[in-house]
Amino acid sequence: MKHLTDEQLSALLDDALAAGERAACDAHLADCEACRTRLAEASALEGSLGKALTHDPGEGYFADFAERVAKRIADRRLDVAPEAPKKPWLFTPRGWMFAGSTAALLVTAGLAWMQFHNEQNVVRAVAPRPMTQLREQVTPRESDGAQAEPPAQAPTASTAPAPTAAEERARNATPNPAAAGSQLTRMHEVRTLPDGRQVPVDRSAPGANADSRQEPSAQGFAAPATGSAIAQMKKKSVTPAAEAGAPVPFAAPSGAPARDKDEKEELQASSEAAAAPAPAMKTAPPAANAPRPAAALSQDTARGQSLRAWGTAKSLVLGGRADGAKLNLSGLGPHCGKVHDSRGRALAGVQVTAVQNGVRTTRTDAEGSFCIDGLKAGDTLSVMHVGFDPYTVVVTPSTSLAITLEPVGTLGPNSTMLMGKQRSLFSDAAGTHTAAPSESLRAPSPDVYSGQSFGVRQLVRDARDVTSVARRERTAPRFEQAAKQWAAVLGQVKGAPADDARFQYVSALREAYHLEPTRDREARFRSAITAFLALAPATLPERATVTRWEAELNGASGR
Amino acid sequence: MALIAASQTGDEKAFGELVRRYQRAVHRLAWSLTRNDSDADDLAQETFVRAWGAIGRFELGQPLYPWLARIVTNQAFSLFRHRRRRPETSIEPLVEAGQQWGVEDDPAQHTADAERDARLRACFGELAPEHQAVLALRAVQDLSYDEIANALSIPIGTVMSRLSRARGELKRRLAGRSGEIT
Repeated sequence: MKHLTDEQLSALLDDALAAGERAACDAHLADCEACRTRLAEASALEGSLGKALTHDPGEGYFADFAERVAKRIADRRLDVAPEAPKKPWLFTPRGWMFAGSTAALLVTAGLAWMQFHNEQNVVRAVAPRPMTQLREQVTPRESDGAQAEPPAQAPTASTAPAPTAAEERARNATPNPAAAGSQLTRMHEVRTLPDGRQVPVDRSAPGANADSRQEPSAQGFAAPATGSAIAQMKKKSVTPAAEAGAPVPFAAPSGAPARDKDEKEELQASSEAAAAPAPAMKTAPPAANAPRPAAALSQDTARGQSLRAWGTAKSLVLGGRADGAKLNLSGLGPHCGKVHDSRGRALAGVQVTAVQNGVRTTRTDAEGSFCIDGLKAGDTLSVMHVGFDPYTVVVTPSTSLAITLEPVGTLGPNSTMLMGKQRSLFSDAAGTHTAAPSESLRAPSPDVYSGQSFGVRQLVRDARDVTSVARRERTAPRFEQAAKQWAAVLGQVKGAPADDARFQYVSALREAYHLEPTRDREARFRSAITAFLALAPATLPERATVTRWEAELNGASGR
Repeated sequence: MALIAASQTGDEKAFGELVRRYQRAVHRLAWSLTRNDSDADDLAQETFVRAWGAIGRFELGQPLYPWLARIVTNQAFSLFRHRRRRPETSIEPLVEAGQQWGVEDDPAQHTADAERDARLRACFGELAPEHQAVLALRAVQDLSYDEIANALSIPIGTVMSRLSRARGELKRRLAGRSGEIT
């Protein structure tokens, strides 16, 4: 089996493969655990990198950023009208300087060549038998015919190869190949060989020139070692938890034969683990990993490979696998799971809380894994993270602990925007929330804004950020600010993205109204509802939600 | 588009609005390339100062952000070159030690996550500038290959291969670093 190349994996990660190649890669991934693991690792690394390289300086920093830029511009006396594009560069002072220096350089180079050749010809003319050094420079045929030819043999008589060669050398020696080339063609002396052919005099190290010409193309980036230490990691993956803290370097893959055996061992180990009573989980339904491997694959990291690789292993291996398995509530040991975002990236630092008799809280580690003690049916499990819709579920034996959080504002099945407040919606319906188990393994919901320009996506990102802050702070002004941001998005988009932005706008206004009801807020909320229902397509699922909100509002104001 | 056109005629207010609209994205990219607050602030501000100086040359109808990203990366590259020429101002030793400018130095606050992030940042900082740029534009800015190609003035095929190399290189360096630790 031919494994995926690093470039394919990389492009797969970015969803940048052409449809045909993508299908072939998906087919391979469906059968090849090694490549799935590599992809999952790459995905986890990408997520961690994005997080490590992201830094939010806070709203305060941006509040006066534009003013600081304006001040800097003013300080540099750039506060005049910006430079217009009409002047060709050559007529700018810099252009003149460049042209002048190039001309000077050419003249100098030309003079140097002239002088060199004059000297050479004088030497040849004076000395019938050239000096040893000169003889070394000249080929036997040339040295034989050197005396016979006049120094300024007509260049027009030269045959095609000679001036071409001269120009080639000139190209290497001067910054302006065309001008220098023609000058040198005139300057270059041509000798008539005994057989009547004419060649240029200069023979200075053509080999060296050829080498230097080839150099740039030979440079290039060294190809990275292909593959990763899949087999090695797999071996490690069946080692006891005590080893979990030891980082495993990503090395090149050692041979494939070992892998099959290791896969079997691992599968066996996994199934044994699944049979163990307390922390055990059943394997996920097979159909679930079909549609988009990248999403499902990240779950595989829960097996601990990348965890060990990072050297941050903590609790994950204690509780067993979290890859979409359902919860076995028969024991009181720790129950472990994993939290991803909708792109399959592990989320670290996510707060996981179980509430019934008392509150137990934990956070996910670097790999998105968490373990929570004494989880029982009937507990309310809340998973919250900045920038994501909170996920709340009443625990049942079929609850999955492989949880996917949707970014704020994304209308996934878990979206509170779509469903209203989940806690109140589901707290009285224990066991009825069945979306969660499949949620973790379904393909990530496509972002309706993915086809938009960067500017729009940036606006959306800002709107989501502000919404996220509003959800954390839960104040009406914050939600109104979020509504304003969504209105800005709304002004830039059409079609499905506009439907989404309009819905987010209504949602934010609703939150603001609920938190601090005033007449103005009610009016704004109501007119947003009216606009949404007037413009949203009849088939849009959010219509039902907004219609319900309208009914609630009418009911509340009717009371 | 209207804001850009207005800015090209010297409308400072319109340009101010552009700054507000793109400030987060520009700062995010600047921080990912410099990984410290003061450089990122300087780079982000300088980007807009230069953008103001050159907005007249901006071709209307093109996306603005890749153009801004190009200014950020070009400046970051010259900063790297400058740092290399004047090693006494290099940020590398600090990054090596897992510390960052502008970040609390209290060791108690260095959790496992922070250590891992610092390690990642350090390895990222060791990559060639063009690898850093392509990775930052992809992993942090979430730009498409088209947009990255536009921002870095390279063909899409090069974006793809460069990303793959950059990821491979990062992985190898991380592995090396993990090996050192154990």
